[in-house]
Amino acid sequence: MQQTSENAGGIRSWMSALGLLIALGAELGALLCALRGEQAPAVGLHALSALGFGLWAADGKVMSRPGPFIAACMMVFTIPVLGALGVACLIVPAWRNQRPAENDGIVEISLPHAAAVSGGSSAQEGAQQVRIAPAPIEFVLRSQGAAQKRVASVMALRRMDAARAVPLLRVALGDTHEDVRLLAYAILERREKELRGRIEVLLGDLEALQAASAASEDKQRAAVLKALAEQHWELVHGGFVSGDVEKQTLTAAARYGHESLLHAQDGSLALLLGRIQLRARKPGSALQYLRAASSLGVASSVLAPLYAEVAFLMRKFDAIGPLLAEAGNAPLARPKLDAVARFWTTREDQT
Amino acid sequence: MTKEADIALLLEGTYPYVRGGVSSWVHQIITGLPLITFSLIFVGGRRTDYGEIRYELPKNVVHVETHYLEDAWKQSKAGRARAGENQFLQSAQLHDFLKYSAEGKRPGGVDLDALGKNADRVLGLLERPDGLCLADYLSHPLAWEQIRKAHLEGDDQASFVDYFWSLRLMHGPLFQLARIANSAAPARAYHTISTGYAGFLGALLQRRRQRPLILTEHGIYTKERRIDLNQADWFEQLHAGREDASLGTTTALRELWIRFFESIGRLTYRAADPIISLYDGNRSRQLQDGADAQRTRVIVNGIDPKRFAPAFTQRSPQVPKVIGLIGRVVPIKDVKTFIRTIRQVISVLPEAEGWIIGGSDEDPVYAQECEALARSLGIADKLKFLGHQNVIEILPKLGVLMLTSISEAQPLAILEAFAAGVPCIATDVGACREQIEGGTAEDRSLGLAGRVVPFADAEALARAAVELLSDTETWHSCQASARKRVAQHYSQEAMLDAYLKVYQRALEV
Repeated sequence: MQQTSENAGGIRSWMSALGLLIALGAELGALLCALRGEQAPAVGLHALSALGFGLWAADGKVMSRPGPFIAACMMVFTIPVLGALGVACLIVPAWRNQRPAENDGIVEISLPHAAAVSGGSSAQEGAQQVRIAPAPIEFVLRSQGAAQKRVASVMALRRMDAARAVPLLRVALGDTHEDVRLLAYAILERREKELRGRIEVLLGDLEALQAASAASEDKQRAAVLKALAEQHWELVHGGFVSGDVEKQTLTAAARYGHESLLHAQDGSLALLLGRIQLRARKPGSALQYLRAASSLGVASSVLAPLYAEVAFLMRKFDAIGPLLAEAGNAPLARPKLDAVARFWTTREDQT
Repeated sequence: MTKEADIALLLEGTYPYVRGGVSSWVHQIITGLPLITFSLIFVGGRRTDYGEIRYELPKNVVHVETHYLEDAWKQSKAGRARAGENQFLQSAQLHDFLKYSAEGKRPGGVDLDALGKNADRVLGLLERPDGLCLADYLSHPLAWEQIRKAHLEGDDQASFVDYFWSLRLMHGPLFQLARIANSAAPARAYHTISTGYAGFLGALLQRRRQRPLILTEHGIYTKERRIDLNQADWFEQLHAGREDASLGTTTALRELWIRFFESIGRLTYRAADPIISLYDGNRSRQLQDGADAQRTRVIVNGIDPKRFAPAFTQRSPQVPKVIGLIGRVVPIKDVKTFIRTIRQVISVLPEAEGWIIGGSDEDPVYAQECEALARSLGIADKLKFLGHQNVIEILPKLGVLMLTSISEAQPLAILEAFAAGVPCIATDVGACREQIEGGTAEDRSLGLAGRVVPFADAEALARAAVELLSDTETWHSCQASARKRVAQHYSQEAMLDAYLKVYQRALEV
């Protein structure tokens, strides 16, 4: 069975190479005919070229390197009539030779599922339901199905972490059904209220500590200031604030964090300040904090992606690849970042 | 002996103890129909939440009585269980009726009409010698059995302890309202301004005294309770630290409460005729919640343009860079989004200011949160909490009226601002779009009287405010449309005439 699969893979690669050869040869011929003013042969050869590209694109590996594929498409689709032929040449072979999913190299990431579809009294039952209706919450929220399903999905967001839940709740705020909108609003409000409540308590603590000027209070003051920076950052990171309010919140977070750092050296706080400055698009300032974090013992693998972000904002693109390579497996923990890391670390090979 | 009024107004948490849009409307109806006599039956939660009467009561108010639901348990101590199996059977059938009419389906062989007539009979007998009383509900073994069975059959997601106590909290006030209905001052007809507890009282009075019940819903009560319940954190606090706490448990309890309010709403709809709403959107919602289409009708709000003429003439030629929110400082008005909006506006128009015009005493915790938010955004000097103000005096000082509410019916504040020549920016809730952009084609041809934006979107609100405050031509065009619209489509005369006819019909019965 495995041998049959390998044979099929070999035939596909061979066909793909042949297709590319035909495409390039035919396109060259079409160009020469066009230069000589022989329109009919030029069009015919161009069509043949499109067919060749279709054969070439039918191999799954081509799609994993989109650069040449896009260039080929641009060439094939330049002329509208041939473009249509080209589309047919691309779609038909691709449809006939659908690649098995395991060849994609795509890692399936488990997404949160709506309570409405993932419920079940036993683990086995639950797994079965998920397999039948694997609707991630965002999909359910964007669908125009029964409003009760969307209400259940929004309810399921109540205990999800803010960074993931808030963007979905914002989707729900635009729902056509009022109950969905109101529920999403209520959850957003409650979560922000909790954060702001904590900030108010901390501000009270800080005020009490300001009154006491003893040096022994320094550590406590630093801890409160750090907590204030963290809570303000949480408002931003969680997506609770936007626009000018976000800027204002970032400024407050940076101010509290910086003041805390003056009282007590703290690597994690320096790292947080680096992230705050990056969010505020101040790469110079971020770099200083990241260096401070490094000197206070934060691992270089943790800092590397942030250094890479600084380099990106400073338009030092050449530095990004090595920095992300230094990050090692850290990006793997964050799938989106992993894709970015792969792009930048393989960039040199492509250029 | 109390004089019989033509109309007894049944008021829950509003006039005459609370200021606001609904209270203003009630006052407008009473003063606008001086030949009709009114009695006021006010129902509140806790007496500490309400102070003195906030309005000078017109002369045609012949009687006022005030009841607080916190007294439900105090009055029950003397009671003694006395009901028999028959009463509990009727009670079970009442619950079946509510269940089947909510689901819109019923098992074969069930006669919904017969169940409905039984429900009417049960309401008529509640807290009467032949009916159930609170003591029956609290201590009769059959009551226990009924609760236990209901839990197993429909609400087993909630822990039984929570379920049991939630049901007690729900039913206590209903028995109290039945006692109020036994002793309420006489009236020729009843007019409730919401469903909920006041509406339930109306249904009881209608069944017992065979007098007509009129219902006018401004906001939809069940929807607003749903908002409150979703925002309430006491469900989670109830379970804090408990091992059986789960999302399912708290969700089931929330749903139980929502179902409760929907059920008493359904009983009110069953007893009321006509069922009035302020715009078509709310009428649709009433139908969806079980109102009979034949009984529903729309009567829009209206205002007296002459009253607001001075507010228009006092305006200075310059557009003041002041954005005002007229409304109580309560969560449903989403004052926090207003504050965030002001923060964004100030970045573009540093001279702009935000004024919050309305009482902060109804929800002091929320008011404090709003003030803290303003401080944290560094706009404490640009944002003023002015409390209640005379709208005629304050409207000329506003450049734009902004309503950030998450739920509204047909805000009077918008109509008043229009009459005073102030364009409005409002969230897309209730009838706000209809008021600002026009309802019918003819109305829309009058032009835009402001801007409508999605709710909870401070950036969109800020963009609209900056546009109107910066572009004088657009502002004046909106002002002209606003004045024309309010004069042509929202006249107080038409509204009062419509209510006079509703009352006359009720009094003829």
